[in-house]
Amino acid sequence: MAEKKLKLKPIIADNVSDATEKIILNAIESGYNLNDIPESKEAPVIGKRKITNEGIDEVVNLTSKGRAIPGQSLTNSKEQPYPWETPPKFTNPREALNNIVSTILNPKGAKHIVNALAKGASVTDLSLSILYAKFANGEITPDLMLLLSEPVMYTIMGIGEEANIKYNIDDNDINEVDSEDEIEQKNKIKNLFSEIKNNQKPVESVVPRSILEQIKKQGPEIRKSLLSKGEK
Amino acid sequence: MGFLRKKFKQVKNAVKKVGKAVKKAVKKITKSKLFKIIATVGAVLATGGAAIGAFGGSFASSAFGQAIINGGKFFAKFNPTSFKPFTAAGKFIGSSLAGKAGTAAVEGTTTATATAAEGAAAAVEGAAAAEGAIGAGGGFGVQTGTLATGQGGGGTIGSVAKGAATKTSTASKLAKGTVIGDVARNVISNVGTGMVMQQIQGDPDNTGVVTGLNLAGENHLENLAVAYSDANIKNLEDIYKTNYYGTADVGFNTDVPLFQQETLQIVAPI
Repeated sequence: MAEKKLKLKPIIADNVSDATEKIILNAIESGYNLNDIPESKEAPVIGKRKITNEGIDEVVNLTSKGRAIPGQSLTNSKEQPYPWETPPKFTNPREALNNIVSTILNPKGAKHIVNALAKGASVTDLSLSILYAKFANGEITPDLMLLLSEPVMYTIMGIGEEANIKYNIDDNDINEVDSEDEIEQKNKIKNLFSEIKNNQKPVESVVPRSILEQIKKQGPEIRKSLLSKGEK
Repeated sequence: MGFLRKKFKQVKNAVKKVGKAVKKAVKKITKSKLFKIIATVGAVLATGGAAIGAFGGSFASSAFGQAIINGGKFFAKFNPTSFKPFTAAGKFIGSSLAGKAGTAAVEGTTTATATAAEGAAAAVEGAAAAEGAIGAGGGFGVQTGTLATGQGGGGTIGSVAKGAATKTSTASKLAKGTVIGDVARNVISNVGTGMVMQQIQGDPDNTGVVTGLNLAGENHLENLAVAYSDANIKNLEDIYKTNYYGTADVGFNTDVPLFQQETLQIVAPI
């Protein structure tokens, strides 16, 4: 008999992460199994960042061009202000987000984002450059830029997941190990050794079955002390 | 740019936090799958449900994806393309304020002298009253109505109206048979009739039927009220000014015209 699922509660929050957490937890409480969502059978594309000589040269070229002299902007004519010095096009965050999302979800825009993610560009860098360009064009204010950082990053992450890419979120963190996960793993291994030492059965979920069988076979030998006298 | 990067980096920690919270609730789930779910749900919420349609894929067809789509249909029920709360509010305030202006004008005719009354009657046919009439149907009347009410007393209205009447009579714009003249006459006579009827009938008594404790009945708005209360949203105006995310958000799964409509300035209640 199929498990009865409850209707999800309406949820609203002032940031995407909170809303996501509440919705997923509510779904679990309501009887939805997250494992029901089918996983892609194909191996993900690894978006590993590659450092090439050409890339380094380009960065050096860009940085060697120099920067504006402090106060240089004050010498500009008042009649020709920079776009970001004029009133922004969007003041309502909803309208601004709609505009940016429609640009990102546009097939052409999404294609560029997928390519960039696959080549190792991080979600942070992409969203920062999109929003900074919007600010530089005088479309949004710096405040809006910060307010929209989270939803834009989630949108790019969503595109990456849909394209089955293992992408960097920040810098080159694709193979980053979570410090808490690392500690947890170390503790498990520690417990495993003590279990073997005390002749306890190791937990199957921790150790693969094949290794368990090997341990079973070689158990008496493992339990022997290294200093014990061998059989003559 | 350094501080900007720092702000953007915070999202990574937020994603990790969500991952930990969900992992506590679901033990047997692979890290990659969990991350995929968080990223997809986040993208769906960030785009106001648009991403579900854009991505399609396995998530949208899953029971969980469907539950999110259906869970966010509170506002879609009201047919969002035609649901324009600001216009509705403008119409309501416009009609009520124009009504008040009309009432003040009629009061002027009854209390002022015969000359003033004539003036008021003429004013009824004047351009100001005509604007009020337009206001009764649409939003523009809001401003006109406010000004007329502000001038208050019959005498003032009478004298102002007289001037208006003189002006309009010379121009012969409000003569019988002209569109503006006919509309103005019709509306003001309706307003006047309404006022007289109200005077005859008096204020309605507070009547009602005591129904006892209401126990039964499914109320969708109750759930919404809880969600908004949890998010500490006390003022409806905040929903339009700030970005909120979730299935209870007015912008979720309802397409965007709601936020792209022409809005009218809402006048503070008198």
